[in-house]
Amino acid sequence: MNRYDKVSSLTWLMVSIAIIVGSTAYSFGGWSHPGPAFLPLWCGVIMGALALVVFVQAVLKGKSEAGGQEGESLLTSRWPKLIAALVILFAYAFLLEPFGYLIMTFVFMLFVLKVVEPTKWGTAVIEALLATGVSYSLFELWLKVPLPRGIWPTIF
Amino acid sequence: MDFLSYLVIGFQVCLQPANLFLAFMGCLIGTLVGVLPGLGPAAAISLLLPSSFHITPVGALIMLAGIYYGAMYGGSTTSILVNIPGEAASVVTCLDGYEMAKQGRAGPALGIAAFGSFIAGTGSVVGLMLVAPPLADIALRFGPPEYTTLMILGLTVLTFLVKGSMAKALMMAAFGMFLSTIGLDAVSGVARFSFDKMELMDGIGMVPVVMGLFGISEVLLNLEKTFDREILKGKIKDYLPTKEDWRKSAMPIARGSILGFFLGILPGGGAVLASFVAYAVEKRVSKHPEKFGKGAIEGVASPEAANNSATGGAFIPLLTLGIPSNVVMAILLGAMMIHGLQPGPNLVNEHPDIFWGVIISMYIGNAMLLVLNLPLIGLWVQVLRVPYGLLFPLILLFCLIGAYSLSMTTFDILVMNVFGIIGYLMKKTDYEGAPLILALVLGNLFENALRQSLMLSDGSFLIFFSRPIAAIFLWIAIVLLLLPILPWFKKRRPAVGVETQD
Repeated sequence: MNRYDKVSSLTWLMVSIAIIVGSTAYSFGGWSHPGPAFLPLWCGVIMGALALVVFVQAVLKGKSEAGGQEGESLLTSRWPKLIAALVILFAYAFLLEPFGYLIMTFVFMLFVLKVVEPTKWGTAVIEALLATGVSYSLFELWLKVPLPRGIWPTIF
Repeated sequence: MDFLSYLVIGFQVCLQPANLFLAFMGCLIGTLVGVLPGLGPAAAISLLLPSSFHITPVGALIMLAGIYYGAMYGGSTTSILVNIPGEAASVVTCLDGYEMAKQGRAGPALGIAAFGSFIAGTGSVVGLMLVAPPLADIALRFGPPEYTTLMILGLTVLTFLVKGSMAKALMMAAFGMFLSTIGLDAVSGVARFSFDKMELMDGIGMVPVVMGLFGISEVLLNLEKTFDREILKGKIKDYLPTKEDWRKSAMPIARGSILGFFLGILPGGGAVLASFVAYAVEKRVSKHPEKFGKGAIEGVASPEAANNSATGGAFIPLLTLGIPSNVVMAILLGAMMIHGLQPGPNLVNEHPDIFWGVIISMYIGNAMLLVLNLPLIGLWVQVLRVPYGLLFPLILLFCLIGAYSLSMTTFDILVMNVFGIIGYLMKKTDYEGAPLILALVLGNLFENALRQSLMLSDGSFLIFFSRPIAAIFLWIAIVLLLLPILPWFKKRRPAVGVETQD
């Protein structure tokens, strides 16, 4: 039993309903010639049924015992770090192509080393520069992975 | 051609300098991710998958396989010295390994773990060589109904074995199966759930999902924890176990190897399960079960042998049936498909160079690992001293580059980030990621086999019961599904879990 069983099972139930509704846009076919909606629809139905099972179990358990209190709590005192990490991860995804690999990677490393896991400025800058340079050499120059250039001048 | 000439082919392939180098790199990287807590072989193989696009298929497989069995060696080092398992298959090694280290016997513990791993790893390669070709012959006769039920069995076994609620695990398998249906339907050509986005037409890639669920989410979870690692101080000496150590460990290594091999073959099984079962068995057969958990060398030897042996066994369903038995094998399946190889019964005959080359490389890799692990142990201890504050930004950076370089779009980074959040929430609410990944990988194969079966039978589900092999697979799956509902089993299942954790 996990303390979030009721919430989590209801969330998955909603996901399963979305899948079932979404599946109706495609042809189910027939038993002898299953169409594109056949498998997704069944997946949605099975997920929904299982989510109900987990929910009912959680409700029954909650009544008989003091309620499940197992599992770690969702928000710990360190949640700002978590949010900071997520912000920079998504920022990297959206800004990588416009700004290019070298700039974004340096910014990413600096942000993580300064904000998410506070380090001294000097150390953070050196580590971010090193990580950017080494990873660029490794992937772009050695493994020939074409990394986005963005606004970085092309002469380099 | 006979067995010997195949062996010669295998040696010819993997003794090529490039392939030897790749095997070495695989073992080195594998040991590294094994040593480092917070990065397992599944995430590491996903990370390196894009960089393997530029090498030959056989070279890529040799390297990726090396990462897998290398991680099993490396994982034991962290368990013994720091009491933090480097990866999941080394969890039980902590129990007696760390105790031995505290008593000043870190050397023999590391030694027996490495030798046990070597013996078991080599043994399982022999087993793989003997079992795989005949099994592939049988598998040639499999039709869509057999494949459908085999995949159902694989998913059921995995959901049966994961810790916690089976209903939750099955739910994740159904969700993974749904994710696999996103994109173009191979039969009708209809784009499903793509919301008219070009990137979704090709479907959701397995690699960004794995990196999200096992890489990013792991880092997010660790950000909430403070790491104070107590690395064993002092010089580690006497790696060579004494005669007495060998006498105590011989049988546990043998039992661990055999158990591990068969649990590795089992769909849904694998190294983690093997190590737990091996430990439980040793404790049960031991004359001194009270010594377990207090530094019994048997408690290190057997699980370490088992987890390495399981890696060899795990290759059998992949190479002969094209069905991965665990998450790492699922990623290797994806890797093979990217390289234009279809794993399955035809692989042995159509690409003997690849099949035997990879197997022989595992022999050589096991020998390399023995050298990498024992004399270089000091180096790995140094790696452990790298602070997590520096390590996790690098893990994140590698995930970002890895996801981007898959198809040179930032869309895969977004997929990875989203699954990082989903994975984080799943861990907090006790949902397992492994069934999701396995179902996602098997999804397309499963859908095709299911639809073909139903077309063959004109819509009758009886086809799965009227063909003997399919029926056997399906009945086992049904029994496993029903077991948790039975009252007497309910009482027993938690006991199994407690046994392995005390």
